[in-house]
Amino acid sequence: MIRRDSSTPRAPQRPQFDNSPFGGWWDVASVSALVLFWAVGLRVITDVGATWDENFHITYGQAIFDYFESGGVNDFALTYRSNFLYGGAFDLLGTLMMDYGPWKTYHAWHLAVFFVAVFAYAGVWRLGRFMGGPAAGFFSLCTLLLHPVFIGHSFNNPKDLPFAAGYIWAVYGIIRVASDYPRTSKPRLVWLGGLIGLAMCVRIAGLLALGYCFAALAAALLVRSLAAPSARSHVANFQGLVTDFFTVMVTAWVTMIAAWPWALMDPIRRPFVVVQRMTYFAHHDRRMPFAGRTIKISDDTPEYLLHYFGLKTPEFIMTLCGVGAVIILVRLIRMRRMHAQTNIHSLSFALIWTSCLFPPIYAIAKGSHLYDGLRHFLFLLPVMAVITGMATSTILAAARSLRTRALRIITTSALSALLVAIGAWHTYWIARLHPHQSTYFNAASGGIEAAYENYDLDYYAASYNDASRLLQRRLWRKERTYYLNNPIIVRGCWLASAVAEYVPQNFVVSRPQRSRDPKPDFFLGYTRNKCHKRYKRKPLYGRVRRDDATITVIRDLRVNSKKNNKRKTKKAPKTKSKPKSATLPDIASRPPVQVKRVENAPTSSPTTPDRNLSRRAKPPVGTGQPTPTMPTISERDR
Amino acid sequence: MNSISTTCAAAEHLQSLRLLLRYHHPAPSVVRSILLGFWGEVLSEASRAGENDDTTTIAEAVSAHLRAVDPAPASPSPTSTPSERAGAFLRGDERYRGSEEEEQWVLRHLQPHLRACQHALEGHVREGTPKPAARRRATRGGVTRRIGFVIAIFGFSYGAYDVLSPHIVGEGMWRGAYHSQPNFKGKPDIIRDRDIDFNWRNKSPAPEIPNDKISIRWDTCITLDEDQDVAFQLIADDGARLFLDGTMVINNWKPAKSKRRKGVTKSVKGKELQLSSGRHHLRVEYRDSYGQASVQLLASFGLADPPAPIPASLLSYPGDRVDLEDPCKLESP
Repeated sequence: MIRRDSSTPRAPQRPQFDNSPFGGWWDVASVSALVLFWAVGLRVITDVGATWDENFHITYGQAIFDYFESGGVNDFALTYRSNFLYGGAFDLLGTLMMDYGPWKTYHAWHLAVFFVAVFAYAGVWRLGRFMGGPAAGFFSLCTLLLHPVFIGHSFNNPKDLPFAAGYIWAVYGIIRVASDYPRTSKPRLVWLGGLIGLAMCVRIAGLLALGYCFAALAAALLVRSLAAPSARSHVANFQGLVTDFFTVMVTAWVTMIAAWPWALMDPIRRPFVVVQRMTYFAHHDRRMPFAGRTIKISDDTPEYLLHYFGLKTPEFIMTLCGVGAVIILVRLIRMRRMHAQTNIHSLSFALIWTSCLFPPIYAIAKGSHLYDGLRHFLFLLPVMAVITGMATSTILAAARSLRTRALRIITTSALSALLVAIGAWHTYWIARLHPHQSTYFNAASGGIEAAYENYDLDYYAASYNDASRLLQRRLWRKERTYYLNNPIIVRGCWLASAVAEYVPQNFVVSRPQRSRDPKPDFFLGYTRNKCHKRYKRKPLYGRVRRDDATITVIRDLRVNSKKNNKRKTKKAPKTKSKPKSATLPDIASRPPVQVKRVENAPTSSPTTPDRNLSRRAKPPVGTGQPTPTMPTISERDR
Repeated sequence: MNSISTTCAAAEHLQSLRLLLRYHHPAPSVVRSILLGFWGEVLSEASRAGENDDTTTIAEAVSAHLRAVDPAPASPSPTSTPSERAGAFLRGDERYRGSEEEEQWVLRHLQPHLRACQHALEGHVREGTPKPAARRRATRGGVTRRIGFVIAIFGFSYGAYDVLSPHIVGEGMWRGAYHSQPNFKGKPDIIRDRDIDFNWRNKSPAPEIPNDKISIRWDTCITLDEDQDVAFQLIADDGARLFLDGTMVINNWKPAKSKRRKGVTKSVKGKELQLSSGRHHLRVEYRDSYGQASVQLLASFGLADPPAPIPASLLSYPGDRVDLEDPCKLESP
């Protein structure tokens, strides 16, 4: 057995694909990180609020289910909002989990999004590992796990996150097939088509992956033909390429339209109609804050994406992506002197870069309408994570191949310590922003505090969850008797119906657009459309904030009426003997047991209810026994 | 009764038992009666064939069988083996009658016994079946008869299961009596609920219950380790009331219209109490008139946090007997 001398540096290896089944401790670490994320995610998933967009997806998913269940008779899914322009695979999954699972509506949907998010993280790991080995896979996975924006969308974004998962797996499939093309089996091509279909069945933008696929297969074929000319003619090669691509395309197309009722009506033409409409998607034209000013969605702001990616991407990812760009440029320049397989690897790296740069450049060039931060381009974050992971592993490999042993040890240790520090810092930020990680702005931009009122923060109203729980706690602490005996009527901007999921049934959601709904007691305002600026004259009852930036405000709308002023006076009495106790000390100090269980005594049974029961119920029914008094706090205090 | 029908009846008993144990939590008395029925069929067949003439009673046969299952002597002591305890349970030995949890534990250990019964039945059927040579000569009509026989077994099993099962579905600690009429009239459907937290809107709460004009009564037993301040809150559309140890503590049955907020169909009422340690009976009665239907019972123990659903760890099932006024009293220590 030859043992490598630890003092000799490792020779820099030729970049190659890594398809080994087990990559040692790096793979163990990657799987552990995934499992840890899974466990922590399931633990905190109930903290995450529902977004208004989920409301529409729930309805659309149910409509798709009804469409298939009724054999096409119930055709609501064909006309529902603009959702009919989207594939419905994920919506159908969410509906099935909601209908057949034991969870509540939004909880089922959040679980569905979370499962798909884990699938996306796994895709990043697989792609990073395949491109740069187990270490690159680990760093890619960690990069995405440390991206607060992606973490923030991993529970409640039913549209952009499933697309991101499909997109990263499609890129992985393309590179995997291109790595040994044209020696690819038909089942492998069908597998690739399925992966591309996963992206297309959420958003039509997944068609991009088909374009990448053709380019990657053609490039791989060309590189191999140039390196080792075969007996097959170029025409035969091209025919083979077209046949293989056709197989991939048909599979992807079928996957796309399988759960998309509107496209099923005209499966060839309608997806292209959607492409045309989505390029100029102008359904919304509202005002939004951007770079300190207020702009309209339809305004021409080519710098929109640059701003958001520059401000919401952690600094280390931007830096390492820059390193990755240098690496790929060097490799592309040295392509002519390399082996064919190495060249295909370099081209694959270039494909990853293309899949990262092409969509935003195309959107900017076309002047597409952009809003809600960078959520429409969330699918780029996994790709950026892979580039970052590869760059990190390349830098570490370079440090390990330094000639001087001491320098090697010092450099590697310093880099490792730096990576650990970066990881700890971003973990801290993710925990600090929880569950509003999607509002993250990097430290270089001044953080979320600097972005407040200059950029969109919680455009999804996911903070209503926190706000309603905060309202519940404050009411309980300040106005206990009122809380126990009255419905709490809350109103939010636009769709706040999800509030009802997080609070008991004594909370009633009043909709602003319904005149018959009750007059609200409290108003919850998040930062989109300056909703938090409404009812400014009403007293502030509480606010959800992160890092000194307000995400949602709670306004008390009751105070103007005399009746409600009276209510305010009915506060739970403050304690004098034991100040600031969690329980009510005045109750604790009172004579003990009021309701006692008397063993072996005739039971004071609840009366068999009949028509007279409500009359007999005053005073409390005791069937002949003396009625125990069970006063409320207010009664006893009187 | 010929041999086939006896075997069929025995199989029917056995299948009922298997289904019961798998999908429900049957009362021990139900399990015991079915199992003894099974042995009765098998023994009657055996005595007809003259194989077991000296077996006089079913209990003896069961004991003999149990000794075969577990050769250890069935000495009644608290530290006996699971098989012995199962045997004692089967014999109806009153010395082994323990708490509900212990009986459930014994039921779980009945599985080996059930498997032994299955083997015994299979052996019995195998003896009666024709030899392979004869089986090859079976006609198509014979095959049809066998298929019919299997279908009949399953049909009878399902029928027996349907009749014998106590019709209590669910696993929660609340026993809900769902009446399809107002004022708790008529025979209720019994459903075990995990929690009283329902928002049926305009839909029906249970398969055979109408959407409107219904009444439901839930019972449970709550056990507290120490004296506590507790706030109960009852939210209902249309009306509900809460009884604690037989005394009405929250009356939200017919909220006055003057106190209702415009546009709000739910009525909310709560009360703070001091509860002694020990076991208490909680009963919630609910009525729905027309339209939307919802009900929720919340409680805050210690008053530190807002009311929330009552933790299941504090609750225990009050038993299947709906007619008891205070079902928590029977099993209190």
